[in-house]
Amino acid sequence: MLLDLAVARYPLYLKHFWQPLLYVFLYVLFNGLYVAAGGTDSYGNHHIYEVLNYKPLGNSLILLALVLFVFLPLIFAGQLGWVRLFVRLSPGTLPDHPARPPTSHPHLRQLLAPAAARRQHAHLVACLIGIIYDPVVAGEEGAELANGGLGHRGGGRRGIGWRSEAVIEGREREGEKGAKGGWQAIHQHNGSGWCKKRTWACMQVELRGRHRKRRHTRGDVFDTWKERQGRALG
Amino acid sequence: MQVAAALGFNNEYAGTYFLYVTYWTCLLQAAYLLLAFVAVAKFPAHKPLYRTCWCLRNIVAPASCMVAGLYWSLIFPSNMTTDF
Repeated sequence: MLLDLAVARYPLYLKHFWQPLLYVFLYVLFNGLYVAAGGTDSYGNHHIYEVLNYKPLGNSLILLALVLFVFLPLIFAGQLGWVRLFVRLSPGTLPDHPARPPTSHPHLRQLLAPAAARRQHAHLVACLIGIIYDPVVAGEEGAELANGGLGHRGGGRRGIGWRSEAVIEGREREGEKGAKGGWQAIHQHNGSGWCKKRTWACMQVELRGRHRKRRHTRGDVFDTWKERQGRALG
Repeated sequence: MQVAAALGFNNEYAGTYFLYVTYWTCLLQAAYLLLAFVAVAKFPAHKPLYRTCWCLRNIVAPASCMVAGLYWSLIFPSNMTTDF
């Protein structure tokens, strides 16, 4: 799995921690229900694992809490660091595309903006845990997050990914200054509006190629957020 | 092998295969590897397949490490001697 984490293009985000947590929680639920219903293991014992026999209940609960909230997060953070290590060692070949906002709806995005900012900070903390924090990459990610992501999630012929703010505000069609990212980024890059191979991974490469032309710093990130919040407040 | 064991060909764990988180994770890992191979080899632009693989990888990667760590630290009998 470590090798797979290093070479696969699937990005790993801190916000996806709920997935392994849900998996473990489901197993614990199954285990508890099975034992409570009087089930036995292959040797006839009234438990599945000796260390998780719920007798006494307190010890089992402490063990579960340790696994769910200490052991599993540590593993996940270590794997985040592992992935970022390989992203850093081989730029342009492994997934370093930005975290995306949770929704493309403008009003909902305004409401969720503080949550997205918190996720950004959490992501930076995760990078620090991995001791491979890269401020340039992190700054780019934050800036893209603040700008509304790189691409579209409109579906159809318009591509996959997230809409930029310019698209949402209707500035894309007029070509107004300030429209950036998303559709225009793809269109300007390859002239057709579509990644040639029409694959997710290929589109990320195309977008990254476009994106690398403008650099951001962490200052830009937070300035952008301030501007954004100022606009939201009117 | 996993399917054969799940169906009860392994007498030791016959009928109790799905009780253990080790085998849950093993099955998920096999499913992820199979789907990832299919996604790469046959359907590189299939977005639902990509997302399924992504989700499975997010689960399997930490879960497999967790299962290995917990097994060797808590389950494996520390007083077991190796008889050559």
